[in-house]
Amino acid sequence: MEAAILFILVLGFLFLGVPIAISLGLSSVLAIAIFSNDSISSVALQLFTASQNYTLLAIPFFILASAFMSTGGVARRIIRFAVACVGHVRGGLAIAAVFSCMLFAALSGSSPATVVAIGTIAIAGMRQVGYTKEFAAGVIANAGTLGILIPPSIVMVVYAAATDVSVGRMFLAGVIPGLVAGLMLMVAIYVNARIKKMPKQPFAGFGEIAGAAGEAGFGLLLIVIILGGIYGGIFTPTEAASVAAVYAFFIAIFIYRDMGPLKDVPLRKEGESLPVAVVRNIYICLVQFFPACFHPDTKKVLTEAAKTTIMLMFIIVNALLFAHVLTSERIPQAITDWMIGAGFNWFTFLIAVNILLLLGGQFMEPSGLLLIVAPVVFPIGMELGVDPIHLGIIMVVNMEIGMITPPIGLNLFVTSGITGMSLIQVVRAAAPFVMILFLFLILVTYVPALSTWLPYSLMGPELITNR
Amino acid sequence: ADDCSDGEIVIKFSHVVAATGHPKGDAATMLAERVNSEMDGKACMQVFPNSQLFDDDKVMEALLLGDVQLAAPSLSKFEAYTLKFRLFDLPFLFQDLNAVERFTTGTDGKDLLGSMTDYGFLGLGYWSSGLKQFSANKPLIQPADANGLKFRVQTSDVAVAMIEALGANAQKLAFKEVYGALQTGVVDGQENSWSNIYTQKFFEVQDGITETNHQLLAYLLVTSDEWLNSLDDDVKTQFLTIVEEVTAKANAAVAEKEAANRQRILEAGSTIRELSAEDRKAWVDTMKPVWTKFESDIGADLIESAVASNTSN
Amino acid sequence: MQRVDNWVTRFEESVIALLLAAMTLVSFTQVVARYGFNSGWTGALEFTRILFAWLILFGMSYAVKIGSHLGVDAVIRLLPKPLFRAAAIFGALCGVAYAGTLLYSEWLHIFGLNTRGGAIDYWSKMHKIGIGLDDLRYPQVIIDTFGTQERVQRWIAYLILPIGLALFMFRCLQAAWQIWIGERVMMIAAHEAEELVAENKDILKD
Ligand code: NA
Ligand code: NA
Repeated sequence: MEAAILFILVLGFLFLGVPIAISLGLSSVLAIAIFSNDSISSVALQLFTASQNYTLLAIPFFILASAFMSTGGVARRIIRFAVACVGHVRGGLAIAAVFSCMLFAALSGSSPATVVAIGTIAIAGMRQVGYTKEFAAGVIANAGTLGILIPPSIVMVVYAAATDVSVGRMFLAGVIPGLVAGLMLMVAIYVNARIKKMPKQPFAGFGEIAGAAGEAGFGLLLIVIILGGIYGGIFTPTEAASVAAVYAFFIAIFIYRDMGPLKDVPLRKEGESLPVAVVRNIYICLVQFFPACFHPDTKKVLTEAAKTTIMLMFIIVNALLFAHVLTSERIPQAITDWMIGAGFNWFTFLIAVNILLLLGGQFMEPSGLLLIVAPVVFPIGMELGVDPIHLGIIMVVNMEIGMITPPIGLNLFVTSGITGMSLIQVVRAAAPFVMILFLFLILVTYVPALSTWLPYSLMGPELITNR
Repeated sequence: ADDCSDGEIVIKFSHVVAATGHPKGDAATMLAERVNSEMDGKACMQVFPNSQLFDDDKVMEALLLGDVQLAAPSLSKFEAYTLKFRLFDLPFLFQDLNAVERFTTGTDGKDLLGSMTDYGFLGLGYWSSGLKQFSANKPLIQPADANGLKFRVQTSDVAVAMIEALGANAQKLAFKEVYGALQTGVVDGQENSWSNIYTQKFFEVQDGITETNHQLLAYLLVTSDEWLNSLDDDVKTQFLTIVEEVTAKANAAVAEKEAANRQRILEAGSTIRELSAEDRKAWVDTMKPVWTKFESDIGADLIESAVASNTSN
Repeated sequence: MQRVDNWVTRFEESVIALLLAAMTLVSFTQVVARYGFNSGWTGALEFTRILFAWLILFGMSYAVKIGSHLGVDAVIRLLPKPLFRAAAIFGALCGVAYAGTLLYSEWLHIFGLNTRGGAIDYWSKMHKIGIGLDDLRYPQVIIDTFGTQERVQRWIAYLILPIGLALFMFRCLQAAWQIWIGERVMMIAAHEAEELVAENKDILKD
């Protein structure tokens, strides 16, 4: 009864256009006021507690790293590298676009940022060599969803915070599924390209590959630092995120120089000898270090990242309040008992989870949805013997699909926005590739080893302490 | 049943460990069972394990707000309220859990329960969890072996001073991060009870455990003064009697559980290093300055009284 | 008026940027200190987490002002104009109710609800007993000169709760008013990338 009223309140508020965070927060406050003897003081206490959650502390840092890395220049360098690698096979530019999205995903936790950064350059490039706009947009909208599956991923951090599993294992768990999903998209494009005789580029040569790799490498080192640092024992995942942010700042300002006081200052001037260039660069980096920290460009990136953090965290914090009310009224326990009693097994349970998330994903921001669903679904999953890390990856893949399925899908909106196509056109363009992601979802759901093999062979099995 | 019916006093107990398998979790469950069966109609107790409601830090505030009635944070959490509680963190203070039991049930131990009423807290009993052992990613035999290592400790000034006396570095880490941090080498070592080392599988990622028994790991069952005094006398008496009996029973079972988990660690293939009398003395001597450092905070007589509990009379 | 408004916006933006920068630097320095010098500041983690809370709780009102809180507009967009506007105002007033109740819940007694407490009550209780934070200490100099207690009081960290909620309530009221007089369409953003899309709108259109 209480549970029903609580959920009806939330949905009612949501559809009346009340901000998601307030729908969750106000319902929680009202539930406490009406059904519980608890004071609102302890809800305020929870609000503060949720705002200083240790695991979630990684989120602002990843957002900041991603903001420094989302400048046009980084995307351009990545695309150059991807085209040099795979541009010469049939359908090469489209395959390179998928590859670019995968690489960009390793720098950024955000899917829409991936679509915009890679899409604006890659879609134009594909059209120039004769691909249709629909095809190009469909490829990018889908490949853009890899942003949350390939680490670093904010959604994974949120799952870890909700269920107490380790962020490090979740990140490692996303690597192989991310590669598989990317490969599946690439194979589909290749087959399609063979049938339709789509264009290919001339091979650019190993020199170009090496040159492009050298340029893109500084950015891509970020993911090596994050995963290597966590696995190698230098820092915890939260600390890794802060290191990533500082590294991204350094690369954006002093190496790539797309922004900040060194903008358009070349690393090596024409005709300059190598030693002179090295000394000159060290000198300007030292002299410009403090100006760079206080440069308007830096402040702009910080402000943008802070805005994104606030928007996302306010939803997360209120979803945590909501989850707290659920727990304190013992609702997850009741649902667990009911589901076990109803005879669900792991197979049917996972189907139910998939459907629930695909539906919920239509109205709810992914992190918020995850925080509400996880406390209910996680204990049931554990009871039925589902692996905690595997369950997390399934949830992330569901969130991905939610982004490209109508009526509400973030990547659909973004793609439609930048291409000027109507939403329906984008939906239609994306549909063939969405089918591939559905296939991928089935694969991930029923082949746990895809998710668990890498983290468990490197870091040992996840210890379930939260049940 | 923990569904409370109308008219019953609701007693919410929030703690941070699993509902079963941990000495504290077991004690809380035992307490709830007895309250719910013996005080049915008068009171009902709900246990929220695993930090579901509050972590150890915020639960004290929730007690004051009246939204939780019972909590059991670790003793070192209480030094924020009264420096006297630093006593329990002194290294090599108690020889064994029997000494702990003698001290906590004695006059001085009982007096300490009421030392935080200024803040509105009242201790109801000490729940032992075991004595702590050191472990690291290399064998620890002499105190010098710990030199330069990074240890995860529960934050208390005494614990930090103790680690520094070893020439090592104290690091704060959330409990759930310790396994990963030990495994990857973010920290080199830790100190904990046999039960925690076993249930959290720390032994898997350490080069054996050294049986130092150097420090007490225990919890204070704590309530709000205001709430307890709001109860009718007969309800209060009945409740306190149950608390006292459960406390005694739970503490009596701890030594056995600790021994069992020590054995399980051995069976899992880990090494347990016992200290020779000589080596042990070296550890004690290295850490002795810590006592002097905190003597004025705690009070010399209180320390003396605790030391006296090591010899049963 | 416009000048004051710009000044306030600049202030708000500077505060959130500074909070984020401070969090990142403290966290990063901690890694360097531990890995490079085998040392560290015990209070670092707690300090960073408090800055995090300040960022969210201070920033939530700013996000109302710039309209970046996410919501679902698909359903209310189907409504006729006046109803749409009513829904938009309702959304803003829900924000007022949310912050108002969290600040001081006893106003709900007018609906016969038996509520108690709120952020103000919580903060004043913490202020009254004056207990300190876990790890955050005053530097010895400050203790010696001002005779403060050793640990930084919790109420200092929690100040942002009543302040942040009050600011949030004010911004929601302001939003409701602006919708009412037709200066603003609604309080929410339909998706998180609205600004990003606006910057790159139709960039690939034929
Ligand atoms: Na990513
Ligand atoms: Na969708």
